[in-house]
Amino acid sequence: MQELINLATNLTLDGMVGSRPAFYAEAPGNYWVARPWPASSLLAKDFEFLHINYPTGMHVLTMAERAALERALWRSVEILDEGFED
Amino acid sequence: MDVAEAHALVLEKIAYQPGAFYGAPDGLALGAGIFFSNVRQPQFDSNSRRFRTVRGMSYVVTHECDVAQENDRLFNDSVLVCPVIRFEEFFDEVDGQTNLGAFLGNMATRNIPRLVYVPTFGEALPYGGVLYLNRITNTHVSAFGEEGVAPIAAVSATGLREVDSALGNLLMREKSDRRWGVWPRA
Repeated sequence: MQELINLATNLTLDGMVGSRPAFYAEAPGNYWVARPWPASSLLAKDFEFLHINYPTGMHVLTMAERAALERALWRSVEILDEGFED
Repeated sequence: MDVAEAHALVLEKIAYQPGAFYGAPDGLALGAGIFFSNVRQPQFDSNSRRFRTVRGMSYVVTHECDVAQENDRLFNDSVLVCPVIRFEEFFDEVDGQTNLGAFLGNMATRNIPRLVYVPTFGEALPYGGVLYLNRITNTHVSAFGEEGVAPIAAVSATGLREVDSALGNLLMREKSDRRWGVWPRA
């Protein structure tokens, strides 16, 4: 556990942007989020750690699902121009 | 299954209270976590194989510090946005797919890394919406000053954690292919 906290803390100090959390992958599907606490990075004196279990059994989209997703996207936007030929 | 039933199924599966997902957008600077209406952006049309200019509801991905116009800095005029697909339109298109319930459940539990369900928000998203993370694109900061563009919602800390952790999973999950070296940096 201490090793994990050290790793996450180093990652946060190294890669922190504002108050956005940093992520450390413990294992596939098993992540820790380290974020400054209090939330303002200027005031942060500590870190809070959130353990997130990402799903490990990923759903691989079928071709039909991907096509449906594309159609849904185009239904959700207004087309302003048709693009340009090469 | 109709759209209301599909919506209920998704709400049953999400791992947070949907009412805790949003906060007020008032007074927030342009930056991550805000939904805007009518954002101009390019999207690739695989049928015509052209980039089209479109506008639609979008979620801002770029951190506010990187687009603060009061800072006279280079590289602060491009904004990453993610298009939002309204759930009812999403449902219309996926309705009839085999194992639809499993598909919706997997989206709600974030078993589909490129999709994030966002809950109901008033008339703008009566059944919620879907962030299609692999369609994140960039637009110019001036697009947010165009007529008809307005902030319509902002995520709370709960919502930001949900979306940020999905982005982290999408972009930073361990590669399937083996790589040499050590990560994170020692």
